[in-house]
Amino acid sequence: MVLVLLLFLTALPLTSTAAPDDAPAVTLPAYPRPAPTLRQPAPGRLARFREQRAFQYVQPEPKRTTAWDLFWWRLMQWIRALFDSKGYQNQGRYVVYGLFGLAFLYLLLRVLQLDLTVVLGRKARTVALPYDALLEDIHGLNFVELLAEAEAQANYRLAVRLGYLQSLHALSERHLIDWQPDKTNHHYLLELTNTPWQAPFADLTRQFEYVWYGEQPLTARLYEQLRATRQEFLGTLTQRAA
Amino acid sequence: MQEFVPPADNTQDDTTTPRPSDTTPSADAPFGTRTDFSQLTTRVAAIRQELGKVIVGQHDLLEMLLTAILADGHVLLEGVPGVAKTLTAKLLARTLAVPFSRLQFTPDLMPSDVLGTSVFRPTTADFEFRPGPIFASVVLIDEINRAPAKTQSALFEVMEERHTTQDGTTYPMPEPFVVLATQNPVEQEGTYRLPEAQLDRFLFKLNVGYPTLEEEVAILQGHHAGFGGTPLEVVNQVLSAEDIAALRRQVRQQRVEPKLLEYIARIVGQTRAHKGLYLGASPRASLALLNGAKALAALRGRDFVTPDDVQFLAPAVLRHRILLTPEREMEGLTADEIIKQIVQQIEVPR
Repeated sequence: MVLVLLLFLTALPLTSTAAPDDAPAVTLPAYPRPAPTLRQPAPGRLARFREQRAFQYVQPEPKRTTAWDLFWWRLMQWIRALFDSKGYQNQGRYVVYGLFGLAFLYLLLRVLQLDLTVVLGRKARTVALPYDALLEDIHGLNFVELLAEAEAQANYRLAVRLGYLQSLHALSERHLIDWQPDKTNHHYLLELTNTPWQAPFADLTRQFEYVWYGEQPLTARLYEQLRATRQEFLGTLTQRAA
Repeated sequence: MQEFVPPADNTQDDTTTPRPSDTTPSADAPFGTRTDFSQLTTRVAAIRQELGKVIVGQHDLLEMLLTAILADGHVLLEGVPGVAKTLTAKLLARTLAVPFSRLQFTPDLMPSDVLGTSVFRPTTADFEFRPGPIFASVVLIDEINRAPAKTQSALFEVMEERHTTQDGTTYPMPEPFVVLATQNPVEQEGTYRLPEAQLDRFLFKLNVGYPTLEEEVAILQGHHAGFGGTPLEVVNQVLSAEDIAALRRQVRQQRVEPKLLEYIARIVGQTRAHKGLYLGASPRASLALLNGAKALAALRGRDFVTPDDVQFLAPAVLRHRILLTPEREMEGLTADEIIKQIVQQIEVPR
């Protein structure tokens, strides 16, 4: 009902308050407007603003030279001066160029860890390896003293081990084997192939492995046999080497 | 009459040279093994002789396979097609007088096809378990990487725990239980990479390569002359299940010097610290190395383990249990090279 009433009211012509179309235009008097006064910022404050970095929109910052740039610049200057000097204006300068080239190549190979010996058909060299913990250094042991101590205590198993290490040390000292802690006894036997030392060393190795790894029980009489074998080996080794 | 079997690349040095401790003691030598290995030596020689009727050379591969059987382990043989991986496994199984079964893994194989399934019996109105082909003493799984992960995972329990569980009931595997699996490393189409958990269950992974020229000529001669039957017919059975059990008991009694245990642990532990490896070997690898070394020592006639045994077996035990970082793979490094580096960094106990 209300909606119908509203529709009816909106449909009525609004003629009571509207001006007639032919009425003259009203001209308003000019407003007495004063001339505007421009406010200028204080010169000092403006200058301060201009000095601030945030208001310097277009001026690029000058490139700062670091100490590293300066070093390279000085170095290049020095090298240029070196080669431009009259003393190097001869054939000898190419030698200097070559030396610099070789040094650069060497550094490159070191950085890339390349081994060019393979190209020449050579076997890769054995390098010293980093070990977590070196259990035994045969070059730092006093075998005579340790053996005497073990024998005195009737610790024949330990004595056999020390005696075998002494044999390895003796072979290494005479450059018959290349001692490396990661090598097994079998590796050393292979290194002694076609030498008179292989057979006696194989006997020593067998004795050591049965006693040390195999935990073979030893009596004093049996140890004497092993001791004699070892002494004979070391004696022959010393004699032939001399 | 010989059939070609190519060399395994798991050797690190000249393994044909006998070690001093492997040789028979001389008359005046005060030492000898305290365990009687005569039975083992005789049986192993017989197996070699039987396999030698078909196989050319391959002493190391056969030694590793026999080691795995004595160590109660499974073996994964990897090689390109046509290098007689399957034939070798079949022939070895033939020499053992134990139940044998062969599974050809395919992409549509289901776990129940391997393990077995329960079927309903209308006469008894009850379910009855029908065992799958895995229930055998020697199981040859050919092309193991052609089955999807779902089927592979069915092998987890049975390979490690030697039994399978179906509908709440546990069914034990026969004794002995050895899985010999083969896979092709080159072909990618239709294959699935074995999960690490399954790879870890293999005692050894043996890489089988191409034969030498002389070996290949010998193979051709053998085939040209004929075998006097099929290869399987000329090979006789040598070892029974009871024999294997007795030999395994001997192996378990092998002596291991305490420092050698530390040596094994350090080698395996180093795989976990190596910068070139994304995944190192698990303690199961340490056990595998120990058990393998004990079996190998027995095969070589010793009642104790030496560092040579450990070094010899390290690649076969570790190569499938480690994962290289992407950087090292892109550099072209292999698992065997990393293992060699690791072994070189550990001092041999003596």
